[in-house]
Amino acid sequence: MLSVEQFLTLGAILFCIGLFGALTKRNIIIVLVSIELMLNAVNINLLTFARFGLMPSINGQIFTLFTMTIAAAELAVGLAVLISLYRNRNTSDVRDQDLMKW
Amino acid sequence: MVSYWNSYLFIFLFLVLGLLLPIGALMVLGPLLRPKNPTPEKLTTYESGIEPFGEAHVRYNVRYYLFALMFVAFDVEIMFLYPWAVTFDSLGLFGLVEMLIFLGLLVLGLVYAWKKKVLEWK
Amino acid sequence: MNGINGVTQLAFSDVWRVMAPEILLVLGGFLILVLDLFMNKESSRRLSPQLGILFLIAAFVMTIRNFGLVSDQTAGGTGELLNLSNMLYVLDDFGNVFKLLFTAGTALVLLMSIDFFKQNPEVKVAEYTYLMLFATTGAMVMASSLDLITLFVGLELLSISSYVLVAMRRNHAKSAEGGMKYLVIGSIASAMALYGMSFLYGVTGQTNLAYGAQTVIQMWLQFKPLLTLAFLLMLIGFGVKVSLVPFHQWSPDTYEGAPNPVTAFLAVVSKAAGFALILRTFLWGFSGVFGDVYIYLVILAALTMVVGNVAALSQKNIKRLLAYSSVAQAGYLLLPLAVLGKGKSIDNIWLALGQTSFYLVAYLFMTMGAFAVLTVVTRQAGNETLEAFRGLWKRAPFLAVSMAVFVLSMAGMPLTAGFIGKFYIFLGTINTEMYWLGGLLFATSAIAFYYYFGVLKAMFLKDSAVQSHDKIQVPVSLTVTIAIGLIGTLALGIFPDLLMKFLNGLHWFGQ
Repeated sequence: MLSVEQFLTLGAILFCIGLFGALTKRNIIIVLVSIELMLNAVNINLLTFARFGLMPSINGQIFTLFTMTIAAAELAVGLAVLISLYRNRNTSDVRDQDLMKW
Repeated sequence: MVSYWNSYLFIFLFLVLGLLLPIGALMVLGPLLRPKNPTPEKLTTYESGIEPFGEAHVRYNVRYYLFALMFVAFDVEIMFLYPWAVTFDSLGLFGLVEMLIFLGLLVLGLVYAWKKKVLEWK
Repeated sequence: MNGINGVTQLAFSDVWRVMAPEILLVLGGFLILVLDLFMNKESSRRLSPQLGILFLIAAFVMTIRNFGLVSDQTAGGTGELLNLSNMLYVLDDFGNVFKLLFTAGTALVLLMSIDFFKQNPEVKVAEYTYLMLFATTGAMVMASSLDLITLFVGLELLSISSYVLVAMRRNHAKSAEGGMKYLVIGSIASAMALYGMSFLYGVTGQTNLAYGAQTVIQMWLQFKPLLTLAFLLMLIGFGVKVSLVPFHQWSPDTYEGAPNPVTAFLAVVSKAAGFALILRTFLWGFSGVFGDVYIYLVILAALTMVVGNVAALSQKNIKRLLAYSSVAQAGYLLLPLAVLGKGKSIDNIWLALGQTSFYLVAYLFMTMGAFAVLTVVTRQAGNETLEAFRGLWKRAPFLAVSMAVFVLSMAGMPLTAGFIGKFYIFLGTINTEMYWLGGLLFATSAIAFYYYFGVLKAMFLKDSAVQSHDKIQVPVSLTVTIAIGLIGTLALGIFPDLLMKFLNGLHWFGQ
């Protein structure tokens, strides 16, 4: 029998990997993927609490549906902005985004 | 009980063989048996016998991305139909109208993409 | 509203009663979208912003009607808030005040944008307009929802629309870069806030803040580390949206890259929405245990005031200067909430909300005005440095005087709205005996005077760098914006009671 802690640890590990990737990776596509990883870690958390939490309720699952949709919308806009950036600058490297002082 | 464990023994055997065979063949026996004589021609990419040209990392037409974006946006929205369908009876007329509004907005999105000529392949 | 099988039944009349302004804005957005598809290009370009402003005014009027509904409810009601689906969405004066701010702010932004559309023919006007309307709807949802799910959806509606708005100028590399930075930082922030929300949900077992608050109090001793973690993660996530130090790094770049009206939108509407979210979440969800967590808010507010003002000192670009100044203003705006943890009584909460709202209104007027002046001046000079303002007094006295008023108001000069706003916040710190924060407010305002004085010096004392002393043509839409900003800033500065009386008489959370 898997316990709550194991699921939460999995969520925490995924979240940390995502955060690390989002803050350190050079390619913007990888950064976007890392952000998706963070959001999916949240989904694991929400579903764990909805199923095995102190007070299980359906709200967590509903929350997950909304998170997934919004994550997709965010990613779609991210890719669109990336394409526009690529057309202007011909690069998708984070280090080249230096027109303005970071 | 014995046969129960026996079936697990078979699975275990398959697992061991499945791991050992590729490791043994590819990583141990292969380098020992094969002659090692690389030439520049041998090291080029195999492309059906013709000279390889272009980069391995080709740029896809940007239109693929547009289709992918459209797919992501519409695909995920469909998730909301499942919980709605499960609770359809207790939601009543309000739920039906609300879902129709939701689907209407999605259709509006499709019409928008259509009019903006996203769906055309030139 | 009777429940069958745990599913709340809604009626359309109830929905309209509680969320009329939101419905109007969404309808307006989709109307503009459809009209744009079936109209020719020129008339769509001309009509879209006007339609947008019209719908914003309609939403503004409906919000004013809602004040009446709330006071009727409190006068003759059962003490329950006007709400939808078990407190999922509420109608109270807290939300109403913020909705007035959002609609007025976005209407002014759209007014400024009319000129921006003329200068940039490549910008798609209809898309710009309805994205603004949707973003405003998101802000409204953030101000009046009580459920974590809806709050998050509102936050993302606002954020995703603003990402697109920032990156709207397609042939402008800085615009795309600013948009990308905002998107990456904003998404990370959303994910962090969401992670915090998941823990809050896990401990309380529900996503509703009104019901969850009771459980938070019960669970506080047992799950203190987990709940504090949830609070901190949410604070980081929301802090990025309102650019609190140390989560402000994106704002100067994004403000510089975005078109001027969008920058004004981010600085005013987006920031106000962030504060609405912070106040809503922390004053409801953590109301019972606020005394244990307020210290983090105090630290962030102090850091923000100091770093925002000090970093502004070295800025040569006027937009970056305003960006850092708006970071500093976020610190002032957070103060009333931060000091609440010390003296925690109902009176203090209403006073704190009044102070924040007053400063936000003042901030709305002065920022809108400043960005309108900035648009005219930087376009004429062809660059965005302080040099562009040199000798403005001789070239365009009206612009110079208005800019002086806005800048002095941001610094906190008496007789302007900014001074009164800061003074109320200062009084709040004295009331709760957090004297060092009050002192810090004064000290950082003194620093602010120094860099704002640089702008004044350039306008009045230096000669123009531009050879020709010909008059600057100010477009009508921008003149109106500047005039509204000027009247608002001065009126609130001289007769602050006009607004303060109104704010003090409100039923903030429906009581």
